[in-house]
Amino acid sequence: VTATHEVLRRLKPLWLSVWPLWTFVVFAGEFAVRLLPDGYMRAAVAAPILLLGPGSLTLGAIFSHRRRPEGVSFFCYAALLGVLWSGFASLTLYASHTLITASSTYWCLLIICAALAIVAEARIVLGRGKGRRAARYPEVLNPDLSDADGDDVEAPEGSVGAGFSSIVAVVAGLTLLVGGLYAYDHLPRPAPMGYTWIDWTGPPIKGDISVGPAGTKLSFQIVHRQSDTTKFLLSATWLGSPPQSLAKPFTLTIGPDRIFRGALFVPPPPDGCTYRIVVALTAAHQIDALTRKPQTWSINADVRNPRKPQKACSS
Amino acid sequence: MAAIVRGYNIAEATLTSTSEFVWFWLGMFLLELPVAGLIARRATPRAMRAALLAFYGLVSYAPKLLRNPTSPMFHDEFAHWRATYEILSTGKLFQPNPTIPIIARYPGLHAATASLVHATGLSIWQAATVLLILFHVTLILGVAALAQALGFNNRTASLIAILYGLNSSFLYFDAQYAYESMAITLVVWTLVAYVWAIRSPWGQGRAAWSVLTVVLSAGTVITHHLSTFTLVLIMALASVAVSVPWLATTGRIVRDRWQEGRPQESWAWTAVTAWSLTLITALMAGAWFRFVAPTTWSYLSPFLGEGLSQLTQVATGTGAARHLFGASLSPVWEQKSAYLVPLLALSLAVGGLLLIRAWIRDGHLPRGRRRALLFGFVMLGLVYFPSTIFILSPSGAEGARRSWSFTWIGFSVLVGPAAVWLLDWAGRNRQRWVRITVRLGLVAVLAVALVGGTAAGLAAYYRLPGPFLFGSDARSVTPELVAASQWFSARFGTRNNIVTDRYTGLIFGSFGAQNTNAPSAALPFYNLYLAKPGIPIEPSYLIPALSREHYTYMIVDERMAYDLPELGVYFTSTDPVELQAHGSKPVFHGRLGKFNTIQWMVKVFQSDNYSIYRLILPTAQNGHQGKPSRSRGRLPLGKFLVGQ
Repeated sequence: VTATHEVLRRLKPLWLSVWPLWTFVVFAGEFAVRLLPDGYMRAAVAAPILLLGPGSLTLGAIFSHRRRPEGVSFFCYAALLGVLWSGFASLTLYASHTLITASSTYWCLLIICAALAIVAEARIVLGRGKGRRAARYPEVLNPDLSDADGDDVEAPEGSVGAGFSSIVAVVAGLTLLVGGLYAYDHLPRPAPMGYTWIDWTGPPIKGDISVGPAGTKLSFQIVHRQSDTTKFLLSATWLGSPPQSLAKPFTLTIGPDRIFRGALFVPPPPDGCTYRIVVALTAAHQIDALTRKPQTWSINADVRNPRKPQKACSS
Repeated sequence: MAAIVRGYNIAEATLTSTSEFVWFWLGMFLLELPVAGLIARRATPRAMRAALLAFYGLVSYAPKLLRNPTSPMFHDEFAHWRATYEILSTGKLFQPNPTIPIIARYPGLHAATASLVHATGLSIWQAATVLLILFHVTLILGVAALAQALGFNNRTASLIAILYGLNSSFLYFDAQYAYESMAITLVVWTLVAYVWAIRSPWGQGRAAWSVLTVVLSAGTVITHHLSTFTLVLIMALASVAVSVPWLATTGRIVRDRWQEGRPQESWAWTAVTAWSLTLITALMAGAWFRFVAPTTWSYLSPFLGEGLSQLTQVATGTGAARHLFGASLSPVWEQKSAYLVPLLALSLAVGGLLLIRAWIRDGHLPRGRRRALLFGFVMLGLVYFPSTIFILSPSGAEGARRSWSFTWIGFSVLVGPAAVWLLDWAGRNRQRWVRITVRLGLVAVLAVALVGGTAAGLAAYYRLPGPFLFGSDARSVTPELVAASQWFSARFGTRNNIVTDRYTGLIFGSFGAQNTNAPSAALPFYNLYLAKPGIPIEPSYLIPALSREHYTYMIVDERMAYDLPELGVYFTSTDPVELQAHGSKPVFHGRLGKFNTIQWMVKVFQSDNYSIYRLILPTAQNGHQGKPSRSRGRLPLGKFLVGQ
């Protein structure tokens, strides 16, 4: 342990003198992280780099070593600045008519980080001579602050104890959140409401459907997302006054989570007028809670025989 | 945590029951009150307090995290999800947003989320959750940092942060995936930097803190309009305070022992710094509003204008006040707690003011920057009380609630020291029962403020899970609606212009990536629903206008004809008066069946509750509904083909 402490003690000045460069290198290495497969591991590595890298460098570029926020404040500022740089980078890309993609964002942030790292490093190098003389004075002193309050505010924030406590608190808090989430996810809960639908499956309808002399087939499907088997009556009508049957109704039974696919053969209408056809599905033993009538689903379409004249048609 | 989970689990199965609230609040008390107690202890080490605050920030995110861990659920979350999706899918900022158009002009949050998605490979919602947890924790730490910057000791500052966490938006509204959740955190940390910039002497960090203030306020400007306005106002308030000689100047040039004999700078220079930073922020905001988001004012002004107008009507007796907790699912004790919060707040605020007066009298708060800034933040906190009146106006209530996130910054600064003073006074008291009574009293106040503040901030159906509730935003999403949206996108692609209601539009406009714009005076498409069968649809320009705007589909929730929406509106928060129900019957009752026979509407899909129509709109300006042709004689017979 003593040897480790000794190594750390020797490395600390080295780290303090070149930390902007190391931070930049770590950020640059994010490119390699992106090669990892999507997942929590990649997120756990990439998110801290993205959020803390640019922000730390910004603080390094803005503040001298002696005046830089420390501890919790440093972490918060760095994270928020990291978030902001993502926004500023996107704005820069947009303004330069560059598409915002993973790689363009990365390169933009890399350039920003490079600039910040140079400034931060320059501040360290240029400020080296002044540091010792000025270090006798406390961090931020305010003549308007009462002594009692001032003492408290000036107390060092970034001690090892503070860091350790914060890490423990964050781990404990995250564990509680994840544990709660896990428990909630695994508790029994009411089954989601099922449903049934009917829809046309042929080419999208954009107007009247042309029906040639040979008639046409209109495909449809019935999707039954229910936990039980249901009996339905399927019918088709020519809508009008009065409506007329278009196809002989038939009964079908659809099991849970099954899809029924079918088609309606439509013969050519007798004239060139537009006729509305309706395919209706009625549940045999299911009452609609809203209408208090048997539950019914329907779809419709307008058909026309283009070869017949439209002269006699009226709406 | 187990109690909160239990509360949510009960809530899922029942429309409303007292036990879900009891379990939920029991869990919240067990999570938060011991932390508050530990923070308030004198013996707690400084480092431990910061850790406890971080812990508090994390666990206070639990209610929102458990509410919707896997996808958006609150109204605004769908809009922000879509905004982020647009950046990821188009590679561009400022893409139109159908749910809340203004958010397209404030891309700070969406760009940050998209960037995190790019870097991590997480889904939009996962990346959003990471950011929200970060904002939530840093918000509470930021309030503590701000209080410390204002000269409070670590214990008082930490308690101020805990008190801030009692504001009505903290647990849910400011924890949702929306731009204000990011912006409020930025505002707080901008103010921390701003206060340090004012309090730091020249050559000792003022320039650095000023630069940091500008960078963070620029971030606020690109993220959220209201937070930007409020930030400028708070900075202006502080600037005014440091410009008032009675507050800010010591009246003489002193030689300060801290500054190696250098004369302390004149208060005027401090004021110049404060005003300069305020001006720079205001200019950045002005430039953004002018050149990037010119619709901001027209978006925000109705809330204030109508709020004031409605309050005037209430005061003069020409209008009715908003019915607080009308048809609320909250239990009575939650509602009563909400009413108690302003009263408790007033008592503590009076205590805080008396304490400041005593400090001034006994010389603990001498003239200078600290006193000036403290007064500035106290003034901000006192704005909370007049703002509560707006809760009586339908249009002003939303604005009032949103303002509390900001005013409670100042309010906590005002009452935090009073709470600490009470604790210390009790600690000094030799009689045990006095100590216990005062401490229990403060715990009770915390509990009531937490319950009441949260209940006042957000309706119960937003806060707790539960069965489907028609017209309720957070409980309107069903597997059926999601499936209909997926079917639609797969069949007709994305970015179709769609006519639909607010609740259906949430899913189609977000996950479905369709353009579900709200109706407007120029395009009052609710008249399609409202028109009686067979009667021309008014106004006559509507259908040609829909045709011109390339509206191609209409999605109808059949329940509109049978149920009244929980929120009281069908399309927007400012639905016209003719859409309001008369009695228990919706205005659309008996008017939706016509869509099956209108000639220019073809029904291509129907599920249990949703019908999707293709609009083949006529261009003539006649507003006719049209009917299918009359049957002419016997029509030929077709047949069903099964097993094709």
